[in-house]
Amino acid sequence: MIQLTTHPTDTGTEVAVQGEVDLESSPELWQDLQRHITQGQTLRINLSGVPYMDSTGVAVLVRALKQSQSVRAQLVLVSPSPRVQAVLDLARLAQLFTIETDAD
Amino acid sequence: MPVSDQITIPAEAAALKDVRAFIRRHLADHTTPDALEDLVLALDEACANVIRHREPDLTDGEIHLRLHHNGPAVTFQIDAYCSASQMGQVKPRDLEDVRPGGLGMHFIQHAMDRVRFIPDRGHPGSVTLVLDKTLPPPAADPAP
Repeated sequence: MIQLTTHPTDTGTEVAVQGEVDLESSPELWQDLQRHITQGQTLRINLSGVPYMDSTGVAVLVRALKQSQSVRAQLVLVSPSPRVQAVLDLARLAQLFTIETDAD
Repeated sequence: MPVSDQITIPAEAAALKDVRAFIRRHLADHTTPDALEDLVLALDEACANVIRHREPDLTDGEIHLRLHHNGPAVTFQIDAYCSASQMGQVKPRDLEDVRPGGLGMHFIQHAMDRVRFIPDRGHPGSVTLVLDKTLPPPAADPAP
């Protein structure tokens, strides 16, 4: 189960994800994210509350990135948890994303 | 002392959290947090593959995961992982190919020392996935 909390930002929308993202929950995440990918806007996905993500979660992020690029929207991953960061690194995909951390 | 245990889950996505809990419960005290979570990811991916690609006439709708742990050596076994005819599709994708999907086997191979497929005697026409790992030891507690 995941919890998705959405709030507007100056440049678009931020979606905060809470919970484990896996084969069960990733379809719900994708359904929500794609509603917020809007031309010229920035979608921020806060992943600080995601202690676990598998390949289906990574696939959702890649799909979101590709859809964002196709409509000239921006996608930013915010504060990915250490485990999310590790999975992105393992998949060699971290460099594809704009990632903001607490230190930024 | 050697430890053997198994978990049987329905071949449904909602049951994957039980696999993760099973791995953590058995191995959390025997290796590093990073190695543990790599193993959790690998077994989650392996079971997810069964759920996504299973052939209904091959299994009983359940996933049987066995664990054998002896010192730092741990072996996992998933019966009826796939049919022999599906074996050609079991491979990691090229990481240079940026697209959704296809990462599961890459994660499994990263976490494990050895990935084997052997004929499944209990399920004719299918293969058993066997995963071997020598666990890195947990960090020693700092001296008082």
